Amino acid sequence: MVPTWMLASTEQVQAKNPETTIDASIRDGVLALLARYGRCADHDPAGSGWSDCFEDDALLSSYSPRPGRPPALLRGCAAIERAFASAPKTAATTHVTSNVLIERAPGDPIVAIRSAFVRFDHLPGIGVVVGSFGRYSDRARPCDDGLWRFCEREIHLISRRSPPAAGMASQQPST
Amino acid sequence: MPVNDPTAAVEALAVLDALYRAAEATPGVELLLNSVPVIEGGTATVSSVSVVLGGDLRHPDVRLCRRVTDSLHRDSSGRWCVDPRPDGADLDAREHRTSPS
Repeated sequence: MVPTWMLASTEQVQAKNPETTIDASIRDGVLALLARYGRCADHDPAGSGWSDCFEDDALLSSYSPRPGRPPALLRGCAAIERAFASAPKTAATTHVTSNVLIERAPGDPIVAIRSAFVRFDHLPGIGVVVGSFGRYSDRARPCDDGLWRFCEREIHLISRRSPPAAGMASQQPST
Repeated sequence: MPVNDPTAAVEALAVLDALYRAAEATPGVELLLNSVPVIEGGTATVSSVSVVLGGDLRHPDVRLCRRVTDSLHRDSSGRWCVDPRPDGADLDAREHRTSPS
């Protein structure tokens, strides 16, 4: 038989409850957003691509693996861009995101997204190691230009190999 | 089934949704990649590459990386439910997870 994954398409899927169902077009837009974030973090953290990921007033919260610590907060796309651009990049990275769950309330264009991620670090002379892993909890919406963008992103780190440089922990996103 | 069958696409997403919720409800992180759901009536199977992450706060690592097949069934309300993995190698993936604390 034909595997069902081959049947998924980008066309609008009719649903029993169209107000809350996550159709293929929403899922495609969200998955593209998650991929853009990973590409920016891995290949061009100092570039301008973050504006394709975050709304102007978006909030980025990064939670330490250590329980009880307050999150590092960044408010606004410009602040997020500056933080990524100034973060020390000691290794090439590859972000992998999976287990993507999408939910929305009736009539609300904003969707809630939960996913799991791992960041692989490519260390010269050593090889590829797990740099960090954890979960993302996001809220995103479709924008006028057709792109989906984060209104909020929470990064919940479970384990991280390299903490941010001293004095930078509250200013830089940890992915 | 016809290609681009909207109902089949919705069902495939519902199966994956149930699988990811089950993974989310267990401690630690298991990435399920390249998942391929196959639905036959009231049951479904999903073949995935499973990457189980573990380690302590500062030493993350990959505990397991393997192909797994999960089985699901519909409950009386029509929702997809994930069957427990059978005893043996596949079950190790969930048992070896490391608590974040």
